[in-house]
Amino acid sequence: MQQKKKHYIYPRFLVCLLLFFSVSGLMGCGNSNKETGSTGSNISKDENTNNHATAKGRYMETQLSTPDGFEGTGSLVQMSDGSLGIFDYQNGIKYISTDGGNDWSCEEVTALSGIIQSCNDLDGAMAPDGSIFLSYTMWNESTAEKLYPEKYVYLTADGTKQDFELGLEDYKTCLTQEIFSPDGHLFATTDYKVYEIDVWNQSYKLLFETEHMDGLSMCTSGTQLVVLDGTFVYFYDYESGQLNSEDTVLNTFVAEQRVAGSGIALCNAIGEKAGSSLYLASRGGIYHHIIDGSVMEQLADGNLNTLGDPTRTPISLLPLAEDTFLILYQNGELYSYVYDPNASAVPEEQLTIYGLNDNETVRRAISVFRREHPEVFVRFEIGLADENGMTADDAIRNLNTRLLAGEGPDLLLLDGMPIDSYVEKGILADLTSQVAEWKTNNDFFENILQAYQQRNGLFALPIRYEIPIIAGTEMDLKGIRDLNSLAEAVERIADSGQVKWTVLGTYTAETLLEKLYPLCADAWITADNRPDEAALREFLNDARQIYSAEQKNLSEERKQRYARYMDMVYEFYSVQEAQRVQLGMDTQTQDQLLKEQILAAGYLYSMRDYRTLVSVRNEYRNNARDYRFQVWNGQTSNLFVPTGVVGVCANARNPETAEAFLETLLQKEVQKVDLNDGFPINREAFEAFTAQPSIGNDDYSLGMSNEDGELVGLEVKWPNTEEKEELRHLIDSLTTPVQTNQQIKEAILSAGEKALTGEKSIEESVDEIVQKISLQLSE
Amino acid sequence: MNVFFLNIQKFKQTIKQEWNDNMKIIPISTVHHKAWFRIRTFFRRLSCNITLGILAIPVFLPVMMVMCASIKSGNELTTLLAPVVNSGAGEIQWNFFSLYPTGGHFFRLLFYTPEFFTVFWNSMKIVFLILLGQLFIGIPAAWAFAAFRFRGKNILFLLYLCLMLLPFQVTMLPSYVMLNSIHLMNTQAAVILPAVFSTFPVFLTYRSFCEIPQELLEAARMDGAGEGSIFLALGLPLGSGGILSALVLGFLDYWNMMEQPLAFLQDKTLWPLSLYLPEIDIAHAGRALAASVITLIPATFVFALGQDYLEQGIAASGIKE
Amino acid sequence: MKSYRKFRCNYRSNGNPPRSDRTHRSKIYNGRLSQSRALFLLPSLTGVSVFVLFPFGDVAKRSFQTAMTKKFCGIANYTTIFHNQAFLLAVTNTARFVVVGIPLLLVLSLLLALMIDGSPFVQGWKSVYLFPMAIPTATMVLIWKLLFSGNGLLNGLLRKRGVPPTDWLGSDASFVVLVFSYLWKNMGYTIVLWMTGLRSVSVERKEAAKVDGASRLQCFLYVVLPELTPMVFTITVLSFLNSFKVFREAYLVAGAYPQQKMYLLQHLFNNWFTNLEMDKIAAAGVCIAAVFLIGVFALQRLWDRQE
Repeated sequence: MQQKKKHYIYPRFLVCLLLFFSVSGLMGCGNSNKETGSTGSNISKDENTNNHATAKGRYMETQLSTPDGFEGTGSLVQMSDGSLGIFDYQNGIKYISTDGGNDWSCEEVTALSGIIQSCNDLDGAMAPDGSIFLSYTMWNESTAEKLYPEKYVYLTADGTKQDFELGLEDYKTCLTQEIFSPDGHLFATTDYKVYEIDVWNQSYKLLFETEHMDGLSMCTSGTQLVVLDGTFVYFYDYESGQLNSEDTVLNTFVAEQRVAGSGIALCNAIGEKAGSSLYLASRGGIYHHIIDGSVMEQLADGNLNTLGDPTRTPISLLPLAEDTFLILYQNGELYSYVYDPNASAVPEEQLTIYGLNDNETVRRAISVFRREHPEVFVRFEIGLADENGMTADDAIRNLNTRLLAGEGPDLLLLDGMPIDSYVEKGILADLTSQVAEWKTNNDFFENILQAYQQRNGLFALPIRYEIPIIAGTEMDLKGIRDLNSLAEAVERIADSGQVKWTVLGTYTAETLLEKLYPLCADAWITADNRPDEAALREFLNDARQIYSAEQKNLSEERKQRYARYMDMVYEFYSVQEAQRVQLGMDTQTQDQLLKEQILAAGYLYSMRDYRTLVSVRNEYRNNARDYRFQVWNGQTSNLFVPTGVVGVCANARNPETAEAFLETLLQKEVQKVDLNDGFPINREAFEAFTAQPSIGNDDYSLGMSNEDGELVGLEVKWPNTEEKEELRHLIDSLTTPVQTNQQIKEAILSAGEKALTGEKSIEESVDEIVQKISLQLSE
Repeated sequence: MNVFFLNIQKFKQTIKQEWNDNMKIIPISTVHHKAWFRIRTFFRRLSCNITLGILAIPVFLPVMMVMCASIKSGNELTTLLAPVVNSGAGEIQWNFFSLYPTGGHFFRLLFYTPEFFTVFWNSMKIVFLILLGQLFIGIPAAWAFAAFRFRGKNILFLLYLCLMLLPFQVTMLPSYVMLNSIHLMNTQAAVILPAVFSTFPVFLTYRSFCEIPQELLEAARMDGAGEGSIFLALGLPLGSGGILSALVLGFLDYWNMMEQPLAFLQDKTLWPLSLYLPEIDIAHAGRALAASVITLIPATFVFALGQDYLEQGIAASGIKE
Repeated sequence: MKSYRKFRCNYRSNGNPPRSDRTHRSKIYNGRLSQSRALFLLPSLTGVSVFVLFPFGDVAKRSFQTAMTKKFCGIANYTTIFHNQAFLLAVTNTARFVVVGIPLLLVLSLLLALMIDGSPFVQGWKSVYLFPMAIPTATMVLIWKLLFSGNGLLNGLLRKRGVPPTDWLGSDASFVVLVFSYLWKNMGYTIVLWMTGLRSVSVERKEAAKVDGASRLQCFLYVVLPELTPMVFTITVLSFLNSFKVFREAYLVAGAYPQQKMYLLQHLFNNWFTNLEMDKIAAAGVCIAAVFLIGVFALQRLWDRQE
């Protein structure tokens, strides 16, 4: 009978364990609503549209007219007399609207105009009772410096003016944001600290410090001050002095928005919800959140209005009534959002675009297209939205199933997909006639637009592209034409003794292969569809030569430091962004200037990269050293890397609408904006693209120092006309698109890494890679 | 009918008695009284145990690794897993004993990750419904194959068997099309229904139903019992071992099912646990490992419970002369 | 009681009554399913037709058509796949895996079952061996990577012993990894199945054999083994089914294009699907089903004949 006992102890123990988990599970269930799905990233959320066609109710967006000169500085304030007010502190104008935002009257605040015209670092806020607070620093003409400490002005509604200084703890700081609470408290922030300022006693009180400083914004909610610092949301109760930043759901949401590059505007809820919940506006839409609740409730979908446009940042959000919002954007546009319960939840006609990853240009195009065709709902489906057990191949297979079953999307963003198979199987529609038509209205870089031309038609169009560039002094660049010569040059330079750390800036075999792969992959398959062993062997040999040369001067400690730095970068940015940081010419040339590497080899992603490049060239030339850059060739030459290849599905439900959308993608309106994801394909847009933008891209001087304490200065200036012409010339010379075969890329890279580090001989690795390529080709 | 049931009871009693007889360990020493024989058996047993132990190490090692890893602190995991991701970073090392053991991963998973619960209960719901469906549909079918004789039985059964063995990718597309046409796409029914009609439990229970003597059924029929009551009163109890083994195996199978939900469920809130465990990257390794350990538990529980019945049932139905 | 004893004596383990009874029965029931009986089979049959047979039928239809335009093209697809290098490689690998893995699993687990049977810690050993079955695939992937990568734990162990490290996942040794993964996962369950079979061997016959002076080995070979044969069929089929599940782990560890020896049929199907080669998938699927049909048929004949 002893056996019986053994039989029963086991299950009993496990029953208890299971009960425990059931209990905690129920507890978890109790907390989370059915809407737990919406805690995920809402920007690229794949909404279930099967219900949308019949669902009703949507926020309708209307643009409100604003007076001329309205720039979008200042926040929307609900005045105590019921009207709306905006104080433009840059220009000293008070805007008041008594009819809910439709008409605005402007009134110049004459008492402050003197200050505003002559002083810097202006920031201000308006209180609901009409009083205004302004902070500024004066400019000392003689020493050409700013005068610290900062000065402040408080102007009451009836015109009494008070000037004062506060002498905040950090001597050279300025207030960056100020806000009045409805009950008259004034709060202000510097980079990390949040203060309460008492204007009557001209004193201040430090409330708390924030950890980060990206994109601080504030609002008040009941007796709480809500401060957003880009990662955390702080709730400070100014009556009790308690600080709380543990609203995990909200924090996660905010962090996701930051990674996605979206700005956030937030404000207190009104009416009975005031004080216990917040409204937020970001790229994903307008959200409602109960403080310390577990859900971000989406009220308005960013995909259906301007919020989803990557070029628009919401600055200020104000709820006028239960279902009405006003949003002020950074470029001065003011929109109202009113809930219409009878409008269908999404417009009737649907257009679906499917891509594996997000693409900023497509999002911009959706915005533009929506304005021209408001009756069409464009849905951007992203295959690999979250990290989970799905690989890219799985996503492609799911897409294929849908395509074959006739449920496929109308447009495909073909990055990472087997384009050749799709063309072969007739999935994509032939765009030759459409392109011919579009060419009559637009001017394109044809070498790039028609790069995917095949014998039987044109099926895929790149919408943006990156340019691989290698740059350095004349002496160093001498003779570099292709991979072979690059390897020789790198070895030569590494032996020459002028290298501090690396030549090309690659610390691991992995990064080196990532850099070289797009430049050489095409050469490995011969014309008659077989793997080219000789080319592969050459590649691995050269890569190994480069790798050994790079590793010669690197210390173990330096490698670890770099690894830690890269970990930080990958944690902070999304994967795509992080790659751009690593491989962009921006970083490359700066490192080159700091002498951390000799040659800058990377990709041009945007005008910012190009600006740094030409500025660095100027710097070298100023020091009488010859510097130049050229297109970086590997085993193939004149390459460009498309960042967004679009095709129309052959069995799309709305082929005309799909083609219209594709046309929008290629037009000037969309192409002219620099979204940091490549250069335009539209020649006319090129002009606007290369024009110096008004905000945020002023020329500046950069002072950098490397570890040895060497100071290097860099004058960063926007490229002039000659340099822009140079860029255009460069683009005209590009001919071949990089055909990265994603399916086999990882296999090749892992095999190649072993060859580089010496784990395997070159011959073995070549054999392995040849095997894999033949396998793929023979399938 | 009363006679029928009375005989059943007695039949069951005899089975139980035989079971108990078999379960008695008959010491060898009652058969052979020689001392050297005892020593020999002792050494044989010892070597058996040692071999078992040695072989158990590679078997249990990975399990131990998972459990230990789930209580390591985040930093330790990062250091340990870095060489896996960046292959240049040197040799992988492993400590079984964590320097900073922490229950933090479990805590965070259970109390701060609402998605985990959605996903966990999705899995539970899917598996439970599948097993229930299999019980009502597959078991009677197995009974039909075992107890009745009809034309084409063999061929049909072979067909059942073959179809069970086909890999999923072959029929993925037509299944998708069909599920789409009956509007089940993107619902959990798309995963549940095809699994309910799987021929796997039919095969397993068929074997154990076969062990039931036909004469018994004959006698019952002659006593006037209908097919339904025969099945419920005779088939289910006597074949319980097979049924339970089918259920247990089915649970383990469907608890880890990955292909079907990936293909048929697009809405992430409908996904089961097996898909939620992300590609374990360094950033979330702790959470993923904790989730794995929790995934383990129901499966272990089911198996532990089911095992007993499994043995009893299967052994009991193996009556020999 | 008497009547049951009589029936029990006549009962044999394959569930069929002795000949005389069979003819007697057939006079009463004429071999066709009556109404109530059909009800047992009907739901399953309809479901299987809808969810299994119908898709398979569609697959069979596709195997005679081109992939996208659905034009009839005879047996062109079949000839294509039999000349396709990748297909032949995948078939060879899968066949090799099955031929090596299944017997290895059966024999090893039988040995272990015998050993566990005689030991006092039965439950303990069984639990230890059973655990692997419960571990989810995604976790296993991480563990395999830790163990088998170039700088992994296994190589580290070998290096300490002075044996040169092998590239487990990148050379022909990947086959070993595959088989090991398969054995590891399914050992426990197969052991349990064997043990239930062992338990059901009648003790009286074993005793009788021992009294007759048979050694342990002879007892095992001539008494135990024959009685286990019905079990072998079940276990073979189940192990065969489980051998397909190895794919997901192999895929997550080594990707879509693993080392040659690891490249199984399902890898090929996956890649064909990614490239929309539906016709090839259909043709290969039909071929495989045919092979299964023949194999299972043969197996069943073999087993039934042994009775």
